[in-house]
Amino acid sequence: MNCQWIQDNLSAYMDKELSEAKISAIREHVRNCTGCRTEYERMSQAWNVLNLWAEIEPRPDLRKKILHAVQEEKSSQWLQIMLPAAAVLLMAMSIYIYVGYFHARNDQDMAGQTEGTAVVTEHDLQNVNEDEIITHLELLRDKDFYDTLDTLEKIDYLPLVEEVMQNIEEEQRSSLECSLV
Amino acid sequence: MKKGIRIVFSMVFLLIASPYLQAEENGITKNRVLWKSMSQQERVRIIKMYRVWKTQPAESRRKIQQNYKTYHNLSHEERQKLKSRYNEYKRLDALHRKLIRERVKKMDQMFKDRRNMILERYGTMQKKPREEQIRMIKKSLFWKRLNEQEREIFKKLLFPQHEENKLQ
Amino acid sequence: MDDTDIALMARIKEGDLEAYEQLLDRHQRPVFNTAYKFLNDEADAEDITQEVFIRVYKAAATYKPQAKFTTWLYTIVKNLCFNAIRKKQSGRLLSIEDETVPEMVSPGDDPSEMLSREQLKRRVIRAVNNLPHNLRLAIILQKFHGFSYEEIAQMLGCSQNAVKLRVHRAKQYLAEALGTLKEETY
Repeated sequence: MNCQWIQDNLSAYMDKELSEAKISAIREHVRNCTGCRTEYERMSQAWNVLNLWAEIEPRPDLRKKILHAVQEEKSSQWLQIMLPAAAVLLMAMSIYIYVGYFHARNDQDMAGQTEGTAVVTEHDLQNVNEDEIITHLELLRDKDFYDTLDTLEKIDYLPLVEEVMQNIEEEQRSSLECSLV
Repeated sequence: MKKGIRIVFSMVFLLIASPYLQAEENGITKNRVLWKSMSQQERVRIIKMYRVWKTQPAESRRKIQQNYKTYHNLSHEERQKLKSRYNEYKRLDALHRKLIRERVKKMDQMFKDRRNMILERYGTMQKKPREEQIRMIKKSLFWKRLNEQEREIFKKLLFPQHEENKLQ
Repeated sequence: MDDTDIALMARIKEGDLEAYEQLLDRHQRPVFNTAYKFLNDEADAEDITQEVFIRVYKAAATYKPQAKFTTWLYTIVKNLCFNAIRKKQSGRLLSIEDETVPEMVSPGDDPSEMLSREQLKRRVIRAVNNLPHNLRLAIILQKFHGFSYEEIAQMLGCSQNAVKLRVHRAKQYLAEALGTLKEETY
């Protein structure tokens, strides 16, 4: 244990980071060695002077800021789970709708149907909203049928009308007779 | 948190609305295919129909749209019945078609309680076997008061072709 | 009786915000002061403290107590402090890994001068800030928080011997800069 070893371990000695035996040995050496004692005092003085740098109090709103940030984090964690789920759902729906649409179109093309849009004369297509026609195509194709549908339905009731009318008339007559009697 | 609630509501909305959106989309896709498959003549006819449709009063268009919806909510048998009735109706001359429309109109103008009574009776009649229904119609005052020509017309409208033998 | 830090982390994992507040109250001030002494900037230290505690919250779900909670906590503090220094120093030649102790002594820094308490404090701060980052953090953790060399080694991700050496060199430098001051001045 020479002075160099002692001085290299002075810091650990001060911090009690050595075995009991080494601490005793250094303590003994420092007591007897002027050079090592001077070095030890110099170091421990400097170490102690660090106490002047006291702790400071963080601003009171730091705690609030942290808690607020954590609340937001909690919400965003929830969103992080829900958003991908919503995105997947939307994507699945879009694919489902559009795959169905293109499938139907392809079927039509495969069947070799003529592209009729170009065949219709320009005059016929003037001022016509093709999308609106397509939207209501079924209705337009059988427009007269749908126009008469309510009448057609009511034909079923006609055989009952006169019986009901007659019944009502009879009831009215009998009640009139009763009141006259 | 509010964002989260909004997302959940949107998802629920999408889940509920998606079958309807899909149905509408399917309908349009089907129509588009139908449109492409139509002949030139048919398309011209449809475009003419469309022009007539656009000039019709809003009230008439609403009625047609309502009838369209009603039709699509009916059972297959009922649809068939109305289709074949329409085919017969189409063949009638304008005068007879007018006669039918007037009779129906008269019924529409009846008091609500009377109309309800008719509907009630019709409901009761519907529960009976078809043969019984035909018998009831034939015995009705309505039937008895029809002249020969009118009777022929209503025979076609009320009893489809395959039921003719039941009328004997 | 207060819950241990690990017990609090378990409660936070279950979504208990009260446990989080308890943990925050326990560690906010020392974490803030570590960052403040290391960076010598109050606003940066606040940012670091906020980020540390958000990370603690995020990590609660997966936190496994393999070491002391504080060792884990100050590892986060160290990482964020070093990141902040890297950002500030981008473009400079010296890396944060550099451990070269600066040359002593600049004119006007004669330690034998009689200094006021405030002057002395300023000199202490300047001396600490002159230390290379690894040495600076080692002595902050050792001096102001009383962590052992073993704990500091875990936090800094180095050997105990390296910590011993760093603390020793830091003390030698500080002794050089401040050592001859009279004891009664502090």
